[in-house]
Amino acid sequence: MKELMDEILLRVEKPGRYIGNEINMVTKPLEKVAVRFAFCFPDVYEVGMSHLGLQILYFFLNRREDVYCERAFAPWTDMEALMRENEMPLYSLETFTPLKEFDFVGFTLQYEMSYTNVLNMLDLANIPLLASERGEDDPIIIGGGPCTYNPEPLADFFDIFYIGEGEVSYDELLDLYKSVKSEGGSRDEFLKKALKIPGIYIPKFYDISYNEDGTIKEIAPNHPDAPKTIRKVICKNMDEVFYPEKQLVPLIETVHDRVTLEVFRGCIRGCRFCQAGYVYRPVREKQPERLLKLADKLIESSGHEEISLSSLSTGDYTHFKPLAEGLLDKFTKSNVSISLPSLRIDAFSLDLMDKVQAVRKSGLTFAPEAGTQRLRDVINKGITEKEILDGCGLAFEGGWSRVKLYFMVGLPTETEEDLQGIVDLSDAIVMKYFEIPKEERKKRPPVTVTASSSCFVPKPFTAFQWEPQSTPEEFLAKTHYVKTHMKRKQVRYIYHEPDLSSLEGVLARGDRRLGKLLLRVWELGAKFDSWNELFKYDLWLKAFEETGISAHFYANRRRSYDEVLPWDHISIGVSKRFFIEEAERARKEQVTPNCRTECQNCGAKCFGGGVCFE
Amino acid sequence: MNRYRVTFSKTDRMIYIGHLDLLKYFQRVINRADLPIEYSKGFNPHQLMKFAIPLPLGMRGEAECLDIRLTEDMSEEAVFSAFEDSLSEGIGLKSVRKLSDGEDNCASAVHYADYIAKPKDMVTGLEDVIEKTLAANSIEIERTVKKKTKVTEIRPLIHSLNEENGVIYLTLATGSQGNLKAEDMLKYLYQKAEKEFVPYRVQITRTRLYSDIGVPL
Repeated sequence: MKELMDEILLRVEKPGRYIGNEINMVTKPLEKVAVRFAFCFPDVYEVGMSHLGLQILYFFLNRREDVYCERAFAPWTDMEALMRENEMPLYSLETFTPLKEFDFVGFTLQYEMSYTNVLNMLDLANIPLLASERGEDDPIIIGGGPCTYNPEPLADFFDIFYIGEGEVSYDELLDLYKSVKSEGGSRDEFLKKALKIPGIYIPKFYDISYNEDGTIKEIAPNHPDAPKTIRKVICKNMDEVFYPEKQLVPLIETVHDRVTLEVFRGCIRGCRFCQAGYVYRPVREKQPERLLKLADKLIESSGHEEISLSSLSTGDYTHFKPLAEGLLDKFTKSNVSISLPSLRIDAFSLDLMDKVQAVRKSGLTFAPEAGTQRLRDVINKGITEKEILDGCGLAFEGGWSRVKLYFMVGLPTETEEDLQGIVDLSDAIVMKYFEIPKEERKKRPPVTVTASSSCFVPKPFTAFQWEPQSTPEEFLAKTHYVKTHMKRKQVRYIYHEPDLSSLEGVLARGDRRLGKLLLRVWELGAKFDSWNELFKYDLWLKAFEETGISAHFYANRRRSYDEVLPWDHISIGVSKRFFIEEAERARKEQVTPNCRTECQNCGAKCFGGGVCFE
Repeated sequence: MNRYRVTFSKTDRMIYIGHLDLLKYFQRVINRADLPIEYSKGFNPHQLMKFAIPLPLGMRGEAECLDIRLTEDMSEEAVFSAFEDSLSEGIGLKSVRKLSDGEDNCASAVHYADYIAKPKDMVTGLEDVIEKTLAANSIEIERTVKKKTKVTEIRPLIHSLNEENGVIYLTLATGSQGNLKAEDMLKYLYQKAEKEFVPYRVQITRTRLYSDIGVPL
């Protein structure tokens, strides 16, 4: 293997992607290791290494002496070609061990459009793609991450899905594996015993039957130990949960080159389109004292010159002020910069950004998501036009002159008026800028408002899980409307091509029958679908045609509340009843207060922690 | 002035890291080692460090040099041990030397370097080619600089060439006063020996940097 490396690595772009050896990489004496776990991110190194979940799980698993967690990423096409040409299997970065030799190969499933990369990586590792074709010598293929809340399109390819937060059940799962392995038990024995571990979903122990119209008739366990529903597992107390004091520091530049401090999990807001906002419920915060201590340790151990805060909505952190001030105190003198996520704009946050950014006043970002107040009420996005304009006004006075706005098109109930709202809001912000005196304006770069729109994808476990997605043609017509109505030269409009979002719409709410679509499209050569330069829509169209699968059935059809959904056997704690109520309130354009203002009894209280008990 | 010259090797997996990434790497190593590095003044303060000359990606280095400036006086041993604890496999610490006042920094001081090239494929007739090369008064090669091809006289940049048991030893002008890339030299020799030069089939190591012949940095 190592001999091959020179030959191959000197012929590829960015060979630093394929060598590991980062600061804080874990090395272990292999003879003391009982279980080897390959953590795979199905995208290129620079993307995967910017992912906080990888950093957490890597050090979490490696805190055990008997477990060695190593890493693998999707090789870029140049590397893949040379690997295939030289029959070099996909290997781990720590020890250059072929993935096939591992006990577990775990994939983190962050976005649907990485699924073809999962198949490609299995193939590069010489591991049979179909779970049913794997034998005693093959690793257990396990998947985790947000896409596992509806993992059905991948059910054919995985042995296990882990539903929830890794810190909860991995120890139990690995202990079980170790004991079955030491007693010479088979993989099937292990899988059957694993059925009893919370959060573990083993798709082969469930049978799906279908109605004549193609909808699901029943999801039925076929093993006595397989639970009827698999409930996600989450950490109750974020102050007691493991968090690494070190982070891997890549040797080449990655997307996010910094250490990350996780402030809390979950979100109080309840935006009706947002899957993350629901599946990570309830909100569980860390105390600022612990965070400040961690910040010190992370900076010391990594040598990084930047630290960032991570959560779904950092401005909602109840101790935001002491945390931000504590970090500023600590780091402003020591050449460590703090990167802030987008915050609600008020006097405090502007002052903070001023301090943090020192010289460069980069753009401000708002995510109104929809163009009119009516539609923002439908999606329960608790931000008003006044708040946006006031925020922009404050920022313009404070010296900013660039604003970025994020919108979605294709939201439920959207009309032309809402599209016009995108245009009008962008214009209103420009007008707000011209309220500052001319002499002031002359001193700085001209105002620019960048409005960008993405295509709405209805996701499982949201209030919109029953909604039809706009078709690619409808999306095009909508973005065309906005594009042709944006007249002001200070406003730039960026929009996304709908093809990718439409496929995402199919996979997000797909069922097991999509396995053959994925297999076929991979055979046809699809990979790195989320990369513009490698995405080939025609391959997908061909695969739909050849497999007889209807994109319309999955993406563009309105489902009824009583239809069995492909993810009905998975529970995030938030009840279906609550989602129905939310869907109805959306229809009536009624907003729902956030978790701190008034509990709606969504069901997340069942986890016994977090904001539900504050 | 608390200036120190750090001599290090770059081998194994680290040869796949380019110069800019190595610079970033050393910044982080210095932060981790908690060395009192001095920062430049200005809007974007950066650590005061200077490499003698970038090592091309893929080339091994046995004695590369880096000068750093500290805000306080430390013993060479203390700097050495601070570094030693923070380096990764593939970067080996060779020595730390405190620079005397007024001594040139390594980037200005470097004038020559030794290289060893180990071809993986047999090349015949190299001895002959080397003899002719050294005997010539003038050698011109085509070099591409910023997408333009330029003809350059390289004979004065060659100090010595040697071949022993299939291994090529080169001492070439290196640095801002005159620089000949080992790869360009080898390409020329291969061309004269009528053999195609395939970069990844020849393992090149830079073994030493000199301020003058016989005077290492």
